[in-house]
Amino acid sequence: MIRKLFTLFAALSVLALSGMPAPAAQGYPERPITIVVPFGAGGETDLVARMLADNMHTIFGQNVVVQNIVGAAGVTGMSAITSAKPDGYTLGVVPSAPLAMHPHMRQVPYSLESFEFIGRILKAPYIVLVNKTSPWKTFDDMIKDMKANPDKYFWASSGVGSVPYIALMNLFNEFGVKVKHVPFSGDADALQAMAGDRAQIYASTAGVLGKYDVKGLALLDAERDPLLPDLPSIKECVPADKQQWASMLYVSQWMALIGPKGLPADVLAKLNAAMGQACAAPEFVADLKKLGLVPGYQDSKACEAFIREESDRNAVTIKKLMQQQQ
Amino acid sequence: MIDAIIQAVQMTLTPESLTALVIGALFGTIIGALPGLGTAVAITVCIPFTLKMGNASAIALLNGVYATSIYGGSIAAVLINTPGTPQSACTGFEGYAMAKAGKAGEALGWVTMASVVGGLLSCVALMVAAPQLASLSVAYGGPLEICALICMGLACITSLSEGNQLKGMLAGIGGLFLATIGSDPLSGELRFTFGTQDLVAGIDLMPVVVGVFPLAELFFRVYEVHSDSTPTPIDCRRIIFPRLKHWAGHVLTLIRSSLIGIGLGILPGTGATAATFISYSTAKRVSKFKDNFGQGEPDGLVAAESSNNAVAGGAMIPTLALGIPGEPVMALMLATLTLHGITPGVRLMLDNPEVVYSCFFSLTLANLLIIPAAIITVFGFGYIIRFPTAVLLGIIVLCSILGVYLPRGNMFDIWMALAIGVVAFGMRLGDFPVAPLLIGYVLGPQFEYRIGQAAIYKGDMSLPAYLMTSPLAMIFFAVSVFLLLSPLVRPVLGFARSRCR
Amino acid sequence: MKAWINGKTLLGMIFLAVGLVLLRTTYLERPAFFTDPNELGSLTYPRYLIFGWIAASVLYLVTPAKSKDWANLRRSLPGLAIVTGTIALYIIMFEWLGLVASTFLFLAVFFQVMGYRDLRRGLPIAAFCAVLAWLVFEKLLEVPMPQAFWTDFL
Repeated sequence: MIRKLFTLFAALSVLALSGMPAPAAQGYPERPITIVVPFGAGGETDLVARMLADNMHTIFGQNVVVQNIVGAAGVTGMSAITSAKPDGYTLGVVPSAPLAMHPHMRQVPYSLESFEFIGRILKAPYIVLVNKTSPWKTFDDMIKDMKANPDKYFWASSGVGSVPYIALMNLFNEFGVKVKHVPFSGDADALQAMAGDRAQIYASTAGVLGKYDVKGLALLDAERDPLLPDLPSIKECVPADKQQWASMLYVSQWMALIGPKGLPADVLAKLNAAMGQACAAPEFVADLKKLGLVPGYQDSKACEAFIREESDRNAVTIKKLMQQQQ
Repeated sequence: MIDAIIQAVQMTLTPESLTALVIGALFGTIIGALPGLGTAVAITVCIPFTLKMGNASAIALLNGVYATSIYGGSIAAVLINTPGTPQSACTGFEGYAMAKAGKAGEALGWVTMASVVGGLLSCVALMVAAPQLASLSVAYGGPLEICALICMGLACITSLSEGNQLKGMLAGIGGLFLATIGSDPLSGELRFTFGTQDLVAGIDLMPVVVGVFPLAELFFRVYEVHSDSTPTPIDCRRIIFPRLKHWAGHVLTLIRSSLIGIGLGILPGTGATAATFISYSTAKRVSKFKDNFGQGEPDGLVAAESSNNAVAGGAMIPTLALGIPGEPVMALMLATLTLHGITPGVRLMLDNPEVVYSCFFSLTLANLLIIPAAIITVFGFGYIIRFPTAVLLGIIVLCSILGVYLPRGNMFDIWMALAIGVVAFGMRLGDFPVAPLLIGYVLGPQFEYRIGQAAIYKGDMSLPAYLMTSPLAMIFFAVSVFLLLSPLVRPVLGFARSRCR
Repeated sequence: MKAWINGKTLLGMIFLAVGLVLLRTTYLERPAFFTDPNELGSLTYPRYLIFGWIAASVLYLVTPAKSKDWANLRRSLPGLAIVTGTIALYIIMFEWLGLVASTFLFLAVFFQVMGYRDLRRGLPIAAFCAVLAWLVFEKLLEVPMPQAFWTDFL
């Protein structure tokens, strides 16, 4: 047994020593970069990350690998990013919820200060959706009908605390209408219930419009989407005397490329440039379009400002919703 | 329509697609057959590759891997008693018993043929009536119906724990409880996380499956080595396919189980596990050979395997026609299709019928490819099971750890698998059946979530009035009661009868 | 078995205790998150499950025991403990040493533990399995695995 242990140690030390001499990095990147995705393979975040990784691979000429670290509603993956060495070899592609929403709802072992923001990949505002056969022609019709028939209709969410939940809950609260909530476990389940008329209202991004028999009533953003010129923005739907709270209703799905805090400035600059180039690549834009997503690239600085603003607004909304519940 | 079919055949019969299909089928069977690795690993590993392939090839690869990896899990269930997926558990009951009796080749033959026929029948259902079946999925996919369906699955617990109902009950409740750990599906609140972040999203399926099957089996074999019980050596040189005349008496089971599989595949939320257990338990109640169940009865294999392969085709219907995945694996399929510019959903059948038919066609081919893939894989596995115990067990550990790590990259999952493995081994020693635990665990989250929804829809209605809104749910509930009570009633009746005489 | 406390009653007691402790937590835990005015609270369903569990444990306690011979378990317990320990070590090493090194070391040790003492065949088999796993998953299928701690020095 002792001999075995000795062999083990010997083997270990040989292995350890063989890797020791390594000169300081000059031309980043000189080994494969890992992009951590806190959700499972095949999900939207994963697919976007893989497409981005592919494009960055061509730019850097260095392999960019996507690693799915799933668990704890994204927290495991986020922690893997924060605990990685800030050398630019471990990055993360993350959506809005774990970064700018969960920290306001429960204890998580990270905050915005734990990350370095490399850039925003895309931004897709949420759309208030109803069944295609619905009698409501406009957002106004819907609100009027709901006011006349409180508690008659059901709205679907993809779970309490999810982005669609916050979006619609906030919307109905601000407009003072009573609608019953039914939580579902995801987009697909909720849209199936919409098709069966078990729920009448849902919120999701533009991607679902082509896939399912639903129509949009309002875009939860300040301006109309150039790709959906007929869809009014929520700003237009809010009565003129209440414009001050319109901005509280904007909700969008976005994804960002982030890294652990403390990335060296030159690495960050290189990543920033490479990401800008990757996001502008026509193949990348075309791939996003297939997923029903629109590129919304922002560079490091703009992205950080945007995320902080989103996070602050979410903090206010969530706090308000939580107080109302008690 | 004929044009579309011809186009689909042309799309699928290109050299690239066929290569992808063959590679996928072989890869799926082998990965599925390795103890500890299963469908989740096979599909996760394939996704990055499908992103770089053409439409038809990507569909073919995924179909090949999907259909065969479920089947592969059954090879491991028969030869090593380590099912790769929960839906192969029933196959393990009958198949491993047959293998111990020296009939491993025959068992695999039945498994293979039942899988192929079940899969093909579901493909036929797909081709003939996809749009109609899809509308059924919408109409009957309400929370009450799904609740009732899950009750049917849970009711199987009693028939799977005959002889020790109480232990089965404990295991079943334990499984249901295990599934409540983490965030509540409705309110998102955290429960029973004991303060750790790792439990926030609950315990994943893979650690449970790997703990309950390969790791528990590993501990059991170690136990056998150290105790004075002599393990039965299992030998399998090749598959022995059942002859046509042997099918007499199994046809009814085959058709019934395939229909159960297709039906449950179409409805969202329950998937292959419920289908397999329901069809196996039903067979156990009504089959001609019901007295042999549990001791290596081919009819049990036919019931389990034909239904779990039929789910594949059934689940494809809502996925393609509505964009609503009937199974978790289908969600991955959906994502891949979307990325190739094919948007599953209401317009797919109108805009790109050839894609739909190509999907059906490649699934059909994948099901046929099971036969050669099985012959090759079983040949290889015949060697592996003859390895010295230490080597075989070492490989099981290695595969188990990879199987848990690969899909989620999470070290906590591996520890969880080890803990569950120790518990499952203890259960096996104490004659606690593990199948109820698994059923409870797999169906638990959907059950709680759908009950909560049903409660919202019920609102102020009285319970009978609400139940009356769905006749289908009533039928399901009635079947559940039958499945639940019949194993309890039979011994009582038998006792009473013997008293009367 | 005449003794009042036997293995089965002990197990039943443990089940009951677990049930009671869990039942208590369902009343203790305060929702940390905002709720929706649903018909069912987040702890209602688990509470019913726990009631069921407690009822089943009580039934289990009162039903008569079947005697069972545990001699085999007593004999194999040390072996089982060592195997569990080896696997636990493997899991720890897996994270620190990466796939190849940890698998090789684990298999080499595991073969010894399981009584397959032939090093001349055991070591090559261990090395072969480790390299094969690495080739298939890390090289061919490009799945990211835990990296050995020394790669950080590179």
